[in-house]
Amino acid sequence: MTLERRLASATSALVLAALIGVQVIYVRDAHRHQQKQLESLAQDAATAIGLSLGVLMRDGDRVVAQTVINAAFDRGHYERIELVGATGELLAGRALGTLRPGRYPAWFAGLFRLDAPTAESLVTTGWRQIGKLRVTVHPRYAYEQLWATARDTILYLLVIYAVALVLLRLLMRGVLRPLLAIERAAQSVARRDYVQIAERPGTRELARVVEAMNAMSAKVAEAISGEAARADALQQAVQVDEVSGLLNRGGFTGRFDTAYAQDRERFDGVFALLQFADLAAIDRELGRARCDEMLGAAGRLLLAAAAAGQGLAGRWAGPLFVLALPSKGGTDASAALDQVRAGLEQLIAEYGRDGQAAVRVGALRCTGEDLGAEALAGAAFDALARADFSSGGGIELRAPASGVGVAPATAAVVREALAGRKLRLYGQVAYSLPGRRPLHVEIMARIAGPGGTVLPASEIIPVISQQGLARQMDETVVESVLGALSAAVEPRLVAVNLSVRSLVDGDFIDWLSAKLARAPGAAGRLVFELSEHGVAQNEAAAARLADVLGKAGSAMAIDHFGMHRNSLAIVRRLRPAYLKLAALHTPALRSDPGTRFFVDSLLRAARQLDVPLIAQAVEDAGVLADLEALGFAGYQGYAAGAPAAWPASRAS
Amino acid sequence: MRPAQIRSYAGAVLAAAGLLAHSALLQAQPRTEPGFSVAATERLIQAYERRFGPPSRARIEGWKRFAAENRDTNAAERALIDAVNGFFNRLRFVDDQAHWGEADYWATPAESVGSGGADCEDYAIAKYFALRELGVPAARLRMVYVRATRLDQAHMVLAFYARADADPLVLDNLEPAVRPASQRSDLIPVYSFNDEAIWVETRGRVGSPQQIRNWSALLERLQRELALAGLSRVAP
Repeated sequence: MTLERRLASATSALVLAALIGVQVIYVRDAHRHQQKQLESLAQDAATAIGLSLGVLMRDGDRVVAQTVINAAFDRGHYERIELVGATGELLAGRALGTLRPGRYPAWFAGLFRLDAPTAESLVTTGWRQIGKLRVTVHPRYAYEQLWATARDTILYLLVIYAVALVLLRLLMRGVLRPLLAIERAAQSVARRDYVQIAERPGTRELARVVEAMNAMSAKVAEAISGEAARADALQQAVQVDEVSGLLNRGGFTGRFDTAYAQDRERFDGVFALLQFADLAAIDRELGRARCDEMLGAAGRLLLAAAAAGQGLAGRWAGPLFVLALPSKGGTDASAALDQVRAGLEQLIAEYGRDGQAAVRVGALRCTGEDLGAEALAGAAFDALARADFSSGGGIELRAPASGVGVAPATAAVVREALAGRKLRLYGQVAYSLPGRRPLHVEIMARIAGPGGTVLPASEIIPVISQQGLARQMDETVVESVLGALSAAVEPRLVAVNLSVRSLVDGDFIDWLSAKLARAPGAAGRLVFELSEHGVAQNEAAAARLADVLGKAGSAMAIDHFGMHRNSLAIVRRLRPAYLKLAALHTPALRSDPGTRFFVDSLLRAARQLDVPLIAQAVEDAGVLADLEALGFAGYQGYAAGAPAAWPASRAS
Repeated sequence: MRPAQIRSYAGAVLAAAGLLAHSALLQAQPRTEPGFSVAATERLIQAYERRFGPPSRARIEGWKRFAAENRDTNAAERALIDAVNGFFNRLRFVDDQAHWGEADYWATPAESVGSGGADCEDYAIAKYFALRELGVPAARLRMVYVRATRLDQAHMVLAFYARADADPLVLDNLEPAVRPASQRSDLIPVYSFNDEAIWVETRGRVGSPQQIRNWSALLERLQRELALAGLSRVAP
């Protein structure tokens, strides 16, 4: 129960108790007063009628007595008026017959009983005693008065109670608002989200707490930001070419492969290598500084071209630059490349060199081939070699090589497998460091070819991206995994990869939400992995998915981590269950000190954020001690075993 | 006194007696009716000595003696009435305003005797309680509001009815002798009461006569006197 609710219920109960007390006291008081009034009425009536009778009954006239009693009886609220003689005989009198019910409930009369008081007075004419007059007052009228009083006061008190509750609520809101802010901040801190409390409470004690929390949060947030900035800087050093400001070969390859190979984004455009014909000569002539300046300008130009085509640009090596435009085909591609080439040549001319035929371009039309950057670059080299000799503007654009594209037979197999939900699932276990206990099983889906042999991923992925089957593939995998989990054959957590295509598909998220809601037991054991690339490009969608998964009891994790700038900021916002380091960093950890520094920095920042980082593509068990020393929370790869058919029972 | 009243007071006395049983002396506390001469203990006498001056002691002791002497005699009712009337008529008539500083003050018998002065109601009250102490039932006594035609003013006397339909005897401070009402053409009776006919009865219990303001005040003072005398109240 919240403090506000507890205080509100306690104070409203107290107010209610006080008001009930007031009501009880008031009604009891009114009751006592009415009883006294009845008694005094009885006594007054006895005295007054007794006096009158004494004067009027000079000769003991009973008719006069009866008339006087009638007059008094009819005008007042009496139950009985009797004149009794000295020897006890009734001389005159009146008594009530049956009475219409009073305007008050019977239970009320039972609760606050009013008694009919009787008063006497002696009646004498002169010195002669006639008898005694007895007057009994009927309490009905008093009951009506008392009931009206009780009813009215209850109404007033209810109104007062309602107003008091409203005022109480407003007051409580004002007093407790800072406390809510503190509670939210405390929850954020528990989630390692070091927020600041904006509101400064008026209450001294709360103000001190807020100051202390803010100071602590600021310090920790500063430390994390410092670590994130260091990681960013180191990542820049590892993945970015300092001179041109573009991704270097490793950075480009990693980013490209994540997007198009692992994330199955559609690529139907050109992959081009651009070469400065004689960069060494330019360098000599202009000097290092001017040459670097020119290369920086060239980098900006290429970056602009990449941004316009929603693609990627990088510096492959020395005079070689790479540009991938995923949605430029045919003449569009030629025009775009020509424009880039002309821009670069103009740039060279601006630096006082002859720009004519100074830049060569070798480009490849890609429509869903094996999209590894290295392979594409190899093919583009061939084109570049031909461009060297061509005179047509220095651009050689190659059509898709026959046999490299998607074989229609494979496409049919993939479609059929998805339609029939005939996927082969494999699981690779990620283990903890230290301890090497299983963390989760990552599920990989494969499809069997006509002969029963499993088709390699490199054959399936192009089909899926080219034919827009990513969502169907994801749905099929999720359904298969949920089915297997419901059959209770997998005790470990299960990780499932989702493509970026599914992530940006609002319908898919709704579909997933409904699926998970129907299988709450299985949902609690599922983690959905999204690539850092996909999350960085679609953070809003990723946040929505994380929210949906959180509500369903599942978790979200980020795969291929460490390829983008500012990715730690996304981790702070989305709070994934874990991070999987991009596979390409793993071998570089031992060979490249830059990568090692960068990853070390990532690990420190992730530790501050309390998000475990898992190494991937660990092929050699010999590096595990090193990974553990660096601070990895787990590892995955052939060092722990090849992917095995999943679930285990299906394999047998 | 009504039986119900008796019962409730008896209960209170039993409780008080229970408390007193602790006492090593086991001295039974004297108990009496308010307004009776036996209520004038030494403590009360001392208190009224301080209040009304040293002569009050002799007056109160005289009253106690008078009551004691008459309590044990087998004198005729009429003789008793004459004696009581004579005894109290010796008190000096003093106007309430001059005596008590109030327009209308109903004094207790001890106050009247102690202060040595009374007005018409005080005479009637003192005689009423004295006769009751000496065994005359309340039912035969009436305090009567009368008009005194000779003085042409409102007055109060005590009337004694030997029977319900009898010609009552009038005990009046204006007249030294007790005479039948039929011989008192100077008095026109208006209204009479005794303390049996002024109680309001509710649910079979007798409540307070709060509407007869002067009578209520008198009863309160009688209770205070008992407390002052160190006595508790009980049925005679």
